[in-house]
Amino acid sequence: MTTLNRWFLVPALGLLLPLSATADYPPNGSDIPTIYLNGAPRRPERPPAPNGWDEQSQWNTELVGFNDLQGRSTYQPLIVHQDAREIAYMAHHAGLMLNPLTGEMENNGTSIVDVTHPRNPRYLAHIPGPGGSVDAGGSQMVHVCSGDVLPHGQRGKWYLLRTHGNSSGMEALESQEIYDVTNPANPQFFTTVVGELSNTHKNWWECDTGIAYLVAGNVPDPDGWRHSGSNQHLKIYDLSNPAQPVYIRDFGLVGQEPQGTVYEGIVFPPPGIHGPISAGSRANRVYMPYGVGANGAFQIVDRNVLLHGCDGSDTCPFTPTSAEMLAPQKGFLPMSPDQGGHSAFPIFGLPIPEFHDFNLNRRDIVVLVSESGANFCEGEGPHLTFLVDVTNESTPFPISTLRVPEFPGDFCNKGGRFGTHAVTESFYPPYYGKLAIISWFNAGVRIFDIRDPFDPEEVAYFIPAPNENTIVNCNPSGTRCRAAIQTNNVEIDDRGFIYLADRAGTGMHIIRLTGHARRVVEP
Amino acid sequence: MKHRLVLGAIAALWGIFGCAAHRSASVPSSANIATIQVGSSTRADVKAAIGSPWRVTNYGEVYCGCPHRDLQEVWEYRGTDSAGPYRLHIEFDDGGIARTVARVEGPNKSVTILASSKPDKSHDAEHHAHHHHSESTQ
Repeated sequence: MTTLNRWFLVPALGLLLPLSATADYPPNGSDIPTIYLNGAPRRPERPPAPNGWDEQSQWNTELVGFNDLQGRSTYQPLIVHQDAREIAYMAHHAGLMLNPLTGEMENNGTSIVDVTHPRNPRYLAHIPGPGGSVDAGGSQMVHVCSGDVLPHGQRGKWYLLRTHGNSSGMEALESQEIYDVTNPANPQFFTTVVGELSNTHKNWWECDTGIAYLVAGNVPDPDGWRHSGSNQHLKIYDLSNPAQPVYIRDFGLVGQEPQGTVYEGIVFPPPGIHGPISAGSRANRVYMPYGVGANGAFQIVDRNVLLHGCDGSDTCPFTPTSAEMLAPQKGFLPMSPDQGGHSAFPIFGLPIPEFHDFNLNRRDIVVLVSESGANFCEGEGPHLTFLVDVTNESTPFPISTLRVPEFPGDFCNKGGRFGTHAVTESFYPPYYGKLAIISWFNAGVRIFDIRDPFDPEEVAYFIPAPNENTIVNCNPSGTRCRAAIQTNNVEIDDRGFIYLADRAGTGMHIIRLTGHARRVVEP
Repeated sequence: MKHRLVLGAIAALWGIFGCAAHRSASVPSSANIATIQVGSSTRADVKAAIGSPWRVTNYGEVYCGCPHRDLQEVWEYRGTDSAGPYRLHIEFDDGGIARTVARVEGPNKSVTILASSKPDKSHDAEHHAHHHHSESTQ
């Protein structure tokens, strides 16, 4: 187990020094951080009201740096400690925009930014998305692995796995592809893992094993897999040698497989998966949220059974039986119809001081996030984040809710979406089990103290101000429009900085914790 | 989306201001903007009328399962006139038909909706029942 003495505070800089580039936590390894609580008191103050809708607001956070990402709509940030540098890989929605580095109008793909010096991010390169119709463009998701960590990667190389297509549902135009980003300023196409897909989305790539959980579907679906809501399930590959992808199996909720006779959940066919998170080979679990923003479900899967349950079978990988679909399942939780499974991040061994005399004095928790989908809150209730106790895996049970009230802030009138979208997916030890950091669209990033998961409380937020690039979002009927920011996803680097990606084109904001939020994570 | 509204108002608005080019993207003229019809103009029609946009964005989230999911493709044009920098915002529906045209300007990103397809009444009623909104701009 990697120990916590690999990080410490530098008061003069107010920064957390980087963890080792080869930190052994998922997705680079299978260690899980041990959670040590520092006894810091609970929140001493209520969240203050934010400033006006077109102003920046912060509470126990501070803006450190910014890059406009060429004004491209951004989905996911990923920050990688790469050869003594910190590189931000920013995955974009579909679109078309001038790349000043090339002088060309380029379809949105992946922006690469050197954030080693977070006060002065340096834009290095843009990997364009698919050509042709913008409908098919974009590369919303990205993961990066070192060739030194991949079992059969080339030492010294860095590999970027990304979706190639915008989840538009267009027929067989999308793919999953790999770039060589050893020189992040000069990325080179490496290979296509699999093509003729649709609805590509939120992948996960275990760097230490090479196992890739690819999210995609086929439209039309000649293989007979069935979904409601989002037309996608898992396609699992062994990318331990990125040059030679090896297909393992397709997977999803029982009932999605061709000709399945049973199903779980509240709708048939069961809703598509949004994006899995593997806790690695040692924990031997993969956490899978389904439904995105409606008719949700959450599943805990035995990783070994998932990866090897079809060994020796010609039919199981692509056309499994219902029994073969259920075999890896360790737990299942249907959600309310108005909530979906968008993100599911596991926290193992969270100590509960008040439970010290009981057997269950450490709990396993999953941060389960739904996705808000309507501008101006039209036609939908609030989308929320739930802390689910999975200590007893077969009976996952929600124990608390993370929410941001509409007031103060008047968020439903602010424009764009208001509500949850995603939780950070980094197993960053100083924050692990203490903070849940969640993107909340027009309410920015919201940070919760979850040391007592039965009674979490918000301790910080940061809401960027719209700028000259912020895209106007209108309601479906076109009667109300506003240029509100839309914090889509957030992520942590190995120094503790938090990165915000804006779907409305506002750019990338780098922030750090201050005040009480910082005290929660100090050693 | 059944009703079509001609953008005569746009021509009047743009007639007040002169437009200046920004970067290499097209800057639409008031006369050409007036040819755009919400509810019927396609992306090709818009491009033919006012040229290539400064920026295109397509959220493409049909995977979402959200109640009002749509492609939400937006074309934007930029320019400067006597009122200062502005953006023209054209939003397309799932079928690639222009449904909203708006002008964005000023330090507070003020949005003026120039034309929009007729709102879906049932949807609007639902919206008002929940939130009692009344304004139509910003």
